[in-house]
Amino acid sequence: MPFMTCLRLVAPAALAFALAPAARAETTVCTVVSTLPAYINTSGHYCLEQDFDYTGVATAALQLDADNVVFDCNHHRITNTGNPGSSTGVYVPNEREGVVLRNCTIDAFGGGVFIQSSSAPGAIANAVEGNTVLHSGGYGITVYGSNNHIERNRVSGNTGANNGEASGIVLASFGTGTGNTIRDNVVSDFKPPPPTSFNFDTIGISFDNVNNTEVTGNTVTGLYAPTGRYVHAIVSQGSTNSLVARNTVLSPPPLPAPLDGAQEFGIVIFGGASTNVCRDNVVGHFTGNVSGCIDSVNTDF
Amino acid sequence: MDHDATTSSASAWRLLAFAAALALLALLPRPARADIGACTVIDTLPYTIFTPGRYCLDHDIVGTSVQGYRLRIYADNVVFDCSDFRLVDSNDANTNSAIMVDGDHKNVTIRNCVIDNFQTGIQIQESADNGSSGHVIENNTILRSRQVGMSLAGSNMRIEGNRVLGNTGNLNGIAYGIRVFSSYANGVGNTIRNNLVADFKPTPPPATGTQVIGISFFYVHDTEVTGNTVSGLYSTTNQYTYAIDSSSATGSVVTDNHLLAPPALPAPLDGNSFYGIHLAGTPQEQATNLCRGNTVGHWSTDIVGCTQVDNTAF
Repeated sequence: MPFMTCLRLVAPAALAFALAPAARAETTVCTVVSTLPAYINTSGHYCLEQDFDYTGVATAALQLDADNVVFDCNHHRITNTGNPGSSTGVYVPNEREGVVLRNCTIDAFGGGVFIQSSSAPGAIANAVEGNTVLHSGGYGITVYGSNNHIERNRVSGNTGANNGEASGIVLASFGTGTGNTIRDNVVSDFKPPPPTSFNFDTIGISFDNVNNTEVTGNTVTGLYAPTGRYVHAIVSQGSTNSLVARNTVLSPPPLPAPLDGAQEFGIVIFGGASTNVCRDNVVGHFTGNVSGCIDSVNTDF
Repeated sequence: MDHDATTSSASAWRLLAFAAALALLALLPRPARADIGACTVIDTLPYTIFTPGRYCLDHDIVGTSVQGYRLRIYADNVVFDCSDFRLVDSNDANTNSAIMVDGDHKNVTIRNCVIDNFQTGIQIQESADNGSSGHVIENNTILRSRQVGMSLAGSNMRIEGNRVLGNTGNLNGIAYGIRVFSSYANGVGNTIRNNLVADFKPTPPPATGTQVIGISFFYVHDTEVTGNTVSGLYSTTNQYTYAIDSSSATGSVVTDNHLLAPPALPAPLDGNSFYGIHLAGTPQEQATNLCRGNTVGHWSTDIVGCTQVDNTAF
């Protein structure tokens, strides 16, 4: 996807000029979002052309509530400076289809990106790609549905500040999700605080209640859990016919309490062991490196 | 004094004009940062491209029609970039191709398109021996095809990074993801790489039956099929699904693909997950094919028709 050449809609004369037909220098135009929080309920292409310090109290800094929205941050940053570790960076409600979110840096929200659904088959054919999600208080990227792809994102430095949860990428559905891909992402450097009223494990990538999921080419490193809790780098429950391949999953050197939780599982798939396959992964330093899948040509140490 | 005043006034006007020009520039679209440079925007369909060059979309085009094509490319050396905009046919009974390349042309690139609800998403025809070649089909998303995601005839084509999802098969029960072939059995040097074909649930077939194929190639030689994922394809009762299938093809290299049949469903989606990799041919033809490093699971037969190295089949 090329960078977008953006057109300010605040200048009617320029707009009329820019919309003249025939050859143009740009391949796309996009509507620039110039204030946050923003609520988008019309299909189209949107983009940022500046960084934002978000100080609002809305549920999300950016809400994409329409099908077929392409939102390109053009590598600009949305930072939650008002109440770090709370709210959602980008929220896509109502089981949307064809939403593309790319090239965003989302810093210090409770959740970075949330594509929501509440029934089967869920949100369909959305893309979360090329984003950087930093210092999330809970999860980095959460997607519910089918045929979504989560690709080339970086989720790093989750703080667990929200309620002790520290999850990188979470994929799930309400029982019939299928055909999702989680490819070439990096999840790293989680140091959550000791749990308070919640007892969360530290999760790199999880996929639950989805079939025929591809988890390939991801790197999960440097995840710690608080005392008494566990790190699961790649974990699944209630999923069948999954492929987990070519991932690099490494636990970090030990730290003293309160970050001495167990490095329990590198790759673990609970249930359906004969239907899931793990191949060509490099997994190191976990109590259990690879389990719950057909184990083929993995390197574990 | 007059001279000075005149000079000063002229300078002021020049400054004002310069400032106005700067202001106007500020209002115009920013300098191109796109990766294909200048392009001719296609505003409405149907449309035929007769001239080499770069073409693009700057908005979704949702139309309805019965049959034919929406965009026809009838020239060599065309780059068509949808820039992530959509081509949609809202007529659920259409027999259209969203994009058609015909007339034995060469070096056409189609990229970044979202194509929804056509009989065929992208179609390239070949009517003369070695007539079609050098095309690049990359990073497109094809949704809910009524029959075929891509049907591509020719040689030396690169089909890479595309997603073909949710074929409905509601034209005649057939649901194909990516088909590559040549019309005179001499096609050579095609690459099918890093594509995703997933989630086909075809409707019950008419009397002629149905077949579901993720990636097929035939009448072509020295084809590379690598790094693709084919996953979650169902077929209807008494019918068959193939993840990768070829015939009359030699010298094929099928490597590092992930081919997973889905969990069972009741009728009418209880057809047979038949072959993971099925490269049909004579023993001599099959001896020229290589299958290496593939992960193939839950098929009646996992791999057949090639020399097998380091595959995982279960």
